[in-house]
Amino acid sequence: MTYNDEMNARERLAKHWLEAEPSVQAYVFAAVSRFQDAEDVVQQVALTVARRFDEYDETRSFSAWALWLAKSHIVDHYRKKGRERLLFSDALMDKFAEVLVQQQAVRAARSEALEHCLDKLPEKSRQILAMRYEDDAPIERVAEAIESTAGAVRVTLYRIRNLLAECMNSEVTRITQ
Amino acid sequence: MTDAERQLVDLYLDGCLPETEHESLFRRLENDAEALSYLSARSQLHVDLRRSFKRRKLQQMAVAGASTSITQISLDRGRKPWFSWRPLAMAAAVMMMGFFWWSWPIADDPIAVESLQLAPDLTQVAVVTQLVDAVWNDVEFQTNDRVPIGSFSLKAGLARLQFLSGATVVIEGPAELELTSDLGAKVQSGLVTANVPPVAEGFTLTAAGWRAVDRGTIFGIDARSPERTEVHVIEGKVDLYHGADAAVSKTLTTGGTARLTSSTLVEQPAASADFPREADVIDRAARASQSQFEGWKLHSNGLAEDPGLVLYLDFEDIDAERGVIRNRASGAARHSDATLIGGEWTQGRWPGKNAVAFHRVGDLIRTSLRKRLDAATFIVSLRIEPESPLTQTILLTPDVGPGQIYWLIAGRETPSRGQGTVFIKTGDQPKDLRFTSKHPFKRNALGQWHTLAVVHDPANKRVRHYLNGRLIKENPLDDAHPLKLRQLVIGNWGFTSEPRNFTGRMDELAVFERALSLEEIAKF
Repeated sequence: MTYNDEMNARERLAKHWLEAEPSVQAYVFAAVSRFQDAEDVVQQVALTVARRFDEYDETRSFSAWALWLAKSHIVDHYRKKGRERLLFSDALMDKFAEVLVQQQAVRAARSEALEHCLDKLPEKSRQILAMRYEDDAPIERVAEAIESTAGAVRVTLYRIRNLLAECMNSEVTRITQ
Repeated sequence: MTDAERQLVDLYLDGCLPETEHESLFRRLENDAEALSYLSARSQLHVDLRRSFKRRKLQQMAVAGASTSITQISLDRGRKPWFSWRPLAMAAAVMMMGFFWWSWPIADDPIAVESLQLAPDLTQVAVVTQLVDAVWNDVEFQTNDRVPIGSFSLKAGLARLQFLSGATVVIEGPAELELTSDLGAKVQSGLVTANVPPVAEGFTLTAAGWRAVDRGTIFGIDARSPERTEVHVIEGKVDLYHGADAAVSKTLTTGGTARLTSSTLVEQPAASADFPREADVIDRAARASQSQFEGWKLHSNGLAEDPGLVLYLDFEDIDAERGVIRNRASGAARHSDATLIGGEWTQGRWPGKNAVAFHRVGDLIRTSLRKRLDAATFIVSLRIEPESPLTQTILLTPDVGPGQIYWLIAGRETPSRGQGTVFIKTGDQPKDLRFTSKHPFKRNALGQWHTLAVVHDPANKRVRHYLNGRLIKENPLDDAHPLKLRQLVIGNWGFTSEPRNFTGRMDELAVFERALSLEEIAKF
């Protein structure tokens, strides 16, 4: 491999990874359902992706390949945690990866739309989201902070996310038309 | 899907769905495409929200300096303490065994919480090695910072970056660059010189749709004017490629100059463009550093005369053989010189400045003060190594009873877990008083020098935390016990299974028997 080739490969890897990373995060997060655990797993996936990049077939979807590698890391994660069985079945993991790859096309537009929609939220809703996502506070702690109950916070978060999802859908439609 | 079923997915992603419900949810997801699509969209929303809020937080901190958000304050309300005292008897027993008694857990979950800036190994491609009068737009870099793939804008001044491939670039602001890998960058505007050692041959600067590929050289790109982009070979050889072409359009050698437009390349007579030279930047950065060191010496000499100073270790007046660090405070108590145990002498903030490097558990500085202080200010200049334990002990008093202190840095990245610089004071047993800055060190702050200060101000009922001359947190103080500083142990807390030793360098430490103002602290 010449220097030029190597440089091109590194650029391609970085570009592919930046595009695929959010899908890998979503995949791992849903499978392990804890942000901190998900971060550890995704870091490992990133390293594997870098190490094995020369095996990647450029005619195929990079995200699909990265998700395939992520799957084995999720299995490892559960094994290390001492789980007797994988929480997501093998078939579910594969189907989930397919859905993520299908949704990849509008991924960037959705991220952009989210920023726009967050700015439209009432301040209080943004504060609750900030506690949950900026500070990684569990629901119970958010409830404690706003002097509410965990149940009420769960419902509030559900509604805020619904509002955001609706707003993002119409924004993506607007952007892509 | 019904609304209730959608709520189940949210419950699962929030970690609130009982495990007994998991199996039926997973079965549903496996057999219902709509449900799986919903999970996928929702999971993406979760990670996007987290990424967005973390990024907003970083931007907010970059704009406002170190500040505490409303959410952190609100989270603080009513939270149970993270720490709990161990019984006094156990503390005494631990002391007898030669350990310090500060043996409570620092947080309920000491796992490192790294930021969501994932895969640093992939995206961080260069290091800032020298800066001269650098002013940045948006993202700011300091010396030793890692620079990720992506764009940045240098408004003014000079910056020297070393790529992980070994190539270096010197950038003169105003300039905009996009780092694309450890072997290349796009020059959007500005004046850039690349120095490429043989190990990084192939290093490429892209400008105006052309790729200038090094073949063992020093070369420059002049993109100061949008109408005129030039490449100059100062020494060696450069191949120029147009767009994505695989064939070389032109090879320039020493003294060769070409003007580039999006479609044309015109060779120019050798011009003496004023490209920033590497040696010049290194020399100017060294002189600026020397000047800062001289300024510090003036401040330090004046400081030693401050009547409120009870301990001042500037690490300059030392007996390295015997491990003695003189207490330079003019009103220092007799026998209050400090002793270095383990550790090693190294360079401090500037070339020529002494510092102590702490590497291992057991490296520490011990001093005998025999002071009872009502108001007190503790100031330290230190650099934490990136690979250090999450909990870093700055100093502590090794005794028991009210008025003992423990000053430490706990955790990284996440402000929500009682992390940041923490000042602990013992009150009436078994209650401890904990004052947390909620401003933990970020990953990119490691490897950099910082000046931390904490002020114990019972007259105003406040404990204040400062970072690099800025107030980062003020906590209420409702305890009148004076601080009992019989001895201070600096940089370590004993031999235990959980590492809390300071791992890094320290080059100045001062203790005052009064509450310093922000202006006074900012002079450090």
